[in-house]
Amino acid sequence: MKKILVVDNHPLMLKFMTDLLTKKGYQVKAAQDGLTALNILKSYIPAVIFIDLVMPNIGGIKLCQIIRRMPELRDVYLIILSAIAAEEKIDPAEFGADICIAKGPFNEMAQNVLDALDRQDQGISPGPQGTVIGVENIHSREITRELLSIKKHFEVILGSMSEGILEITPEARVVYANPAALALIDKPEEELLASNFGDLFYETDHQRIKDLFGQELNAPRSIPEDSPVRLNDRQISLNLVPLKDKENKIIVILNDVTDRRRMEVQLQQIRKMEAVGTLAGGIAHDFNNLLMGIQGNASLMLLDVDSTHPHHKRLNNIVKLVQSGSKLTRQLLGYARKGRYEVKPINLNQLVEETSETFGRTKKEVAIHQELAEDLFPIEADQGQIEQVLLNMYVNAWQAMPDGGDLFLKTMNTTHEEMKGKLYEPKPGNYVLLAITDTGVGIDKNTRERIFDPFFTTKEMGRGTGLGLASVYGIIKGHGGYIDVDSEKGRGTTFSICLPASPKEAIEKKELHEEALKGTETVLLIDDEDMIIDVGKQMLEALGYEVLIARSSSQAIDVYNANKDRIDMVILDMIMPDMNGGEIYDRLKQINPSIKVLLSSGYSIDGQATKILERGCNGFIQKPFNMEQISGKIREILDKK
Amino acid sequence: MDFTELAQKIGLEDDEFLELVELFMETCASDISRLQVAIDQGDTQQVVEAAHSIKGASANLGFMEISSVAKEMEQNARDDSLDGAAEAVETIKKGLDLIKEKL
Ligand SMILES: Nc1ncnc2c1ncn2[C@@H]1O[C@H](COP(=O)(O)OP(=O)(O)OP(=O)(O)O)[C@@H](O)[C@H]1O
Ligand SMILES: [Mg+2]
Repeated sequence: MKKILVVDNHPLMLKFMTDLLTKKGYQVKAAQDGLTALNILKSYIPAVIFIDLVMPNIGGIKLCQIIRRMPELRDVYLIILSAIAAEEKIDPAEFGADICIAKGPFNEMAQNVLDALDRQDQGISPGPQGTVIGVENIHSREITRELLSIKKHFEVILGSMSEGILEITPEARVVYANPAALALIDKPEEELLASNFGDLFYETDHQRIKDLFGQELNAPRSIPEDSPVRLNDRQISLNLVPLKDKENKIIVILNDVTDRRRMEVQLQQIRKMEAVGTLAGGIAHDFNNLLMGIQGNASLMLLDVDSTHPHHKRLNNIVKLVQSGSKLTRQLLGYARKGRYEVKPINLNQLVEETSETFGRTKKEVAIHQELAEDLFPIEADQGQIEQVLLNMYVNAWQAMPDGGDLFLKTMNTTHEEMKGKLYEPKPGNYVLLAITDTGVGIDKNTRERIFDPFFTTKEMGRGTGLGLASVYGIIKGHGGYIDVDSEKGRGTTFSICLPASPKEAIEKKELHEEALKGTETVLLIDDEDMIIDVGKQMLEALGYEVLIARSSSQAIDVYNANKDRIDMVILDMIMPDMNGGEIYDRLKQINPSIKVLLSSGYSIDGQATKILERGCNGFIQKPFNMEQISGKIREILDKK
Repeated sequence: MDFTELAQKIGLEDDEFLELVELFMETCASDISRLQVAIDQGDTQQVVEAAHSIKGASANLGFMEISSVAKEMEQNARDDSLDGAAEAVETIKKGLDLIKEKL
């Protein structure tokens, strides 16, 4: 007995077809819409299916397409039963149907239906594929065309929406999806239709989706933008709108909020950065002057005690603590992309060599290997900040290798094109790449997402503040560069840092002095803080210099005017209350165009020092400084011919 | 209106035809109440759908007068007009009453 399935939403048509075919000895099942048909087809494989074209819950065209994708139904004979197909010159073959029989008075239809089945029984094609049978007596062509055109109208609107729109049954089975929804869900329509809505989402979101359908849906419900669900790695907000029609269907609006969320997160990070920056900037000046006072006093006391004295060690401890203190503000400022005081063309190789040498001397358990490109482009950077970056990286690597290991430092030239395929889109140009590889514990994926966050640390209290990589990131970004991490748990870690190359020639770096160098020249020290004047004057005198002092800018001009023949150089604090460092510098320079000035500062706005240096100022020193550092800077300036 | 004649015309036995007519009456009744609500609320889309359903079903069974009234109502509603819709519903109801008498 041949099996037949009839799918039509009008009960009259269903009954007529069922009666007719049963009477003729066929086994018949009936379905009032596409969804029901698909349910029946799970366990019932008919030879012929009659399908109405316009139906709720998956229309005729979709149903044909889905059926043609089901392997066990590929050869079923599909007959479209509709007035509309006859009107609109729809080609049934286009969506996989074999022929189309027009609806009309039952006697004509019955004849056409039975003829088609007879011929199919005998293996004769009831007509070339795609034929429309029984069109002759159809009226009301205009109306049906319009019925379709209204549908098309909605189709166009739905097709051009950026929101995904789904229609689902109260049992959460999908019966319609617009193109945006298909794109978001990333499944072919045939596969999506009739599938379960909840199954589209990840296991972790299932409960929330279930809750949405929890009680009877009377009013719209949503999964809001601020706590979206995941769909193929996109973040989606959902709005469920009950249709309140007799089938209680539900419209689901899917909104891709990934980009908006990402921007919000970025904005939050920028705000955090700005807040930390304002805070750090606000205290850095006072804090560093304070440290300068402590440093100065310790330095002066160290002059009177030799290494056998019990206080010698204590004083050196104080000096070390001062350094840790000033590092803290530097790290905070670095994170906030501030503290780029003195930007000039430098050779990164040289910095890597010097810093790694100093570092390696105290960390013998780490074997340092260098592979530095000989023709490396110069970079334009604040040397102090780049040193800070390098030291942070070394310390992290060392801490990741508690039993010792290898540290590879590699530099090379590169371009934005070779940097492609990264998360970021580098600005076009030449870059200098520094790769820092250790053979340490590595970083797992979850941790990796957070290592650049300020105050994120996996180290025990007192060992890490979690500011290292945050400041590294800020400093690299502040210099227009990029940083990447590549790591495998247990294998080690590589950080790759890219900094823009400079066309300028690198300035030769002066040698570091480890001993205080003495001198006999006359120095004018300008600073508004008594403590700095006090320790500064004595430190300079201890080094052999003659020292004049000024506590305000007007005083500075007066003293300089009165002693200009005597004064060999000026040490100028950049932030004076009544006149900024730049103005004082310009005034002094008016008095003596060949004046020698060393700028000093606890903190200044980015680029301010650089600007003054560009006008001919001779050097810059960051507070707090010790005897060795200040003496080196002074000799550098005074000995320059 | 002669059922036997109609039944013959569309090629059905009397009792088969009667069964279909009964079903037709049922679906029409629900379409009619849908129409009345929709007309009250000025919901032209619903009017289009319900009238369309009546139009098709009555044509299937050869009730051409009902079909043509429904057709006109559908067409007007599609043009956003419900003028004469209430009267049309009455005409259809009368036609259905006539059929009911014959059942
Ligand atoms: N080379 C590395 N190998 C393994 N893990 C690392 C490495 N570098 C950083 N990390 C991980 O990243 C975290 C953050 O590093 P970051 O330098 O910002 O802070 P920290 O080292 O913990 O503290 P701080 O640098 O302020 O003393 C570390 O706690 C560690 O878990
Ligand atoms: Mg660190």
